[in-house]
Amino acid sequence: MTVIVAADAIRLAGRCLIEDAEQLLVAIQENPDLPVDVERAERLHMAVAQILLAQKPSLRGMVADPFLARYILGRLYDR
Amino acid sequence: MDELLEQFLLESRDLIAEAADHFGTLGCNPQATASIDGAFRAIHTLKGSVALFALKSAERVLHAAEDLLERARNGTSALDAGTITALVVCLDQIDRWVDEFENSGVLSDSALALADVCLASLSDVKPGTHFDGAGDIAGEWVDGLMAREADTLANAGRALTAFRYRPDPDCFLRGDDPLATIQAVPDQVMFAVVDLVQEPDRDSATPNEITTNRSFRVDSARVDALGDTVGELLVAMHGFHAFAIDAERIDRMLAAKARACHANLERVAGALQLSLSAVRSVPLEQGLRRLPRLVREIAENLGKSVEFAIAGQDIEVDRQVADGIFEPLLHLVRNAIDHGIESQEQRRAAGKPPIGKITLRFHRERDLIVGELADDGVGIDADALRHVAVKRGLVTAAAADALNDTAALRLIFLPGFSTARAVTAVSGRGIGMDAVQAAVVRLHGSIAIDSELGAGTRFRIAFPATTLTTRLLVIEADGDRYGIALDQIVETIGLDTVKLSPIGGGTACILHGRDVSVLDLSVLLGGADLSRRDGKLLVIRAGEETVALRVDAFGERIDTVVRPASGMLAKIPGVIGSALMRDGDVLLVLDLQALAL
Repeated sequence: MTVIVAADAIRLAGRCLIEDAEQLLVAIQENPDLPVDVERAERLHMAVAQILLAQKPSLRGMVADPFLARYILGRLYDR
Repeated sequence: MDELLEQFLLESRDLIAEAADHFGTLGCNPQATASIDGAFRAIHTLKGSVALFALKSAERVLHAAEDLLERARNGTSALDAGTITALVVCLDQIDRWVDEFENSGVLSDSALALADVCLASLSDVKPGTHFDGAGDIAGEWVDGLMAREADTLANAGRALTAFRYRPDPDCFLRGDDPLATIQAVPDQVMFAVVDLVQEPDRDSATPNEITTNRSFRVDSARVDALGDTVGELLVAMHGFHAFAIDAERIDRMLAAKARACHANLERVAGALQLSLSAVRSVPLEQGLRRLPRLVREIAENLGKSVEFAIAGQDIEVDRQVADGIFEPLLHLVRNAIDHGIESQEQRRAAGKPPIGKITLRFHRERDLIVGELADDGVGIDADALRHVAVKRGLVTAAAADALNDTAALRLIFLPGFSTARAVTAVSGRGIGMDAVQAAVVRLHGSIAIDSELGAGTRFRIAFPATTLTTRLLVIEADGDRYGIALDQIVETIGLDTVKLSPIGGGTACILHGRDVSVLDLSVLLGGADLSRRDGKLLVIRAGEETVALRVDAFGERIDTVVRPASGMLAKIPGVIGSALMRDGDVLLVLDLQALAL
């Protein structure tokens, strides 16, 4: 289980695979006010990253992978 | 036929046509990205389809073509005119293989060698263009990158390599993760997401989705059966109309109700007929898809250089017309290449561009669709036609001399006429221009010819866009009723308003300042020459001539289905078919042009 809906945030953990993309989308749509916590995400499949880029939730925590942080999710932190 | 195979044949031809369309666009603009993507998708899907059948050679060629287009898509190699020609040649070969597979279920032994030729032509294409800066085809994204990363580039102190990666739409289905692919590139200096696709506008996307999901294929026989039933409904409505008139004599109230009922039925039947003709309508291009490929083949066989262009092929016509137009056009195109277009040397000597031009243009003229096939070849010599027609005993020397040049050109449509000096493999196989004319007449159309010696020939084919019902004028001659298609009639006049005068062995009158010969329809139909001075005149065009036909009287105009003549009826010259009258009588429908010629 890499997408966890907690009381204060939607948490991504470990290696997020393509199968997690849909689950993440549903979680964001059902909890539009919750931020997405990426602190413990080790790797994101592009489909998962695309959900974040398209849905633009507020992000919490810094993703471990510098490439993701700098080039992909960076634009979400800037908001 | 096996359902899977049937589906494959339909789909593969659609895909070949789709790819050919995109190649056509790329021929003008090799960098049209939408067409590169479109061609790639069509070839990719086609490759998947052929893999289901014993079409290994086709699969190999498609694989190579797909590779080439893939490189063009991701910018590693640019398309140029040579590449596109090679792709078109390969697509033609695939098209031929699909025909062959349909006819014999296997590909002949030559397929392997042909595939090798195709593969060689594709690999001859020059290796990918390498971009080392702005100013070439990759301009835009390289420009953007140079501007955006100016600092990084200035500080790098060495040459850097830039590349663009565009994941294809199926990447997730294949299990790829483009993000992982990017991250695997070693020693990255800079990375940027460009062309970030905006979220599609849901409101505008939905209707499109629905349209694609809503279309489905229907066996054309079912649509034809529906058309026959609608035709019969229209005839039955005529019967109802007659009933309403009869009822008038017995009960006026009942008659009024019957008329109102009839009017309502007529409105609904009219709407039904319109919907049906919309269902039956297809763009002309469906019938013309194979033409460009066949032109290339014929030209190659004959060693001629020809540029062929079609315009207006998106005009919609009845499916029957789209199907029926191919054979006569192919024959005309064959003739144009074989007899019209000169060899390169002859063209140069005549001061013409070395490559011959054949164009096929369609446009609408009122209710008619007009197709004009023009070539810039040698033209047709009217005198030569007269000479041949007389030599073959088709007309007398006197009759041939009496023809003006326009009429003499029409001699080419006489059965048994062929001017081919040598019987080539392409034309001159005994099918003459008379067959072309017959095919056009079957579509209720007409054909005209115009030619200028040394400058080229132009054929004009006009036919109705819908063939479901025909508007007929009912006429009487020698005590019988006949139907005449209204589109054959130029005008109708009372015999008392013109002055008839004897000319030669016949009769003529002056119409709009021109002598027009007058024929008696009763005589043409084998009846007695009553030499009556009363009645009406039907003015028609027979070929290039205007002819007036005397008939006893005009009846009503009806909209009805004309059934093609079959059995005994088909043997009677001048009869196109039959139609049912409102009172249930059978009406013979005449082809006045055939009778008068």
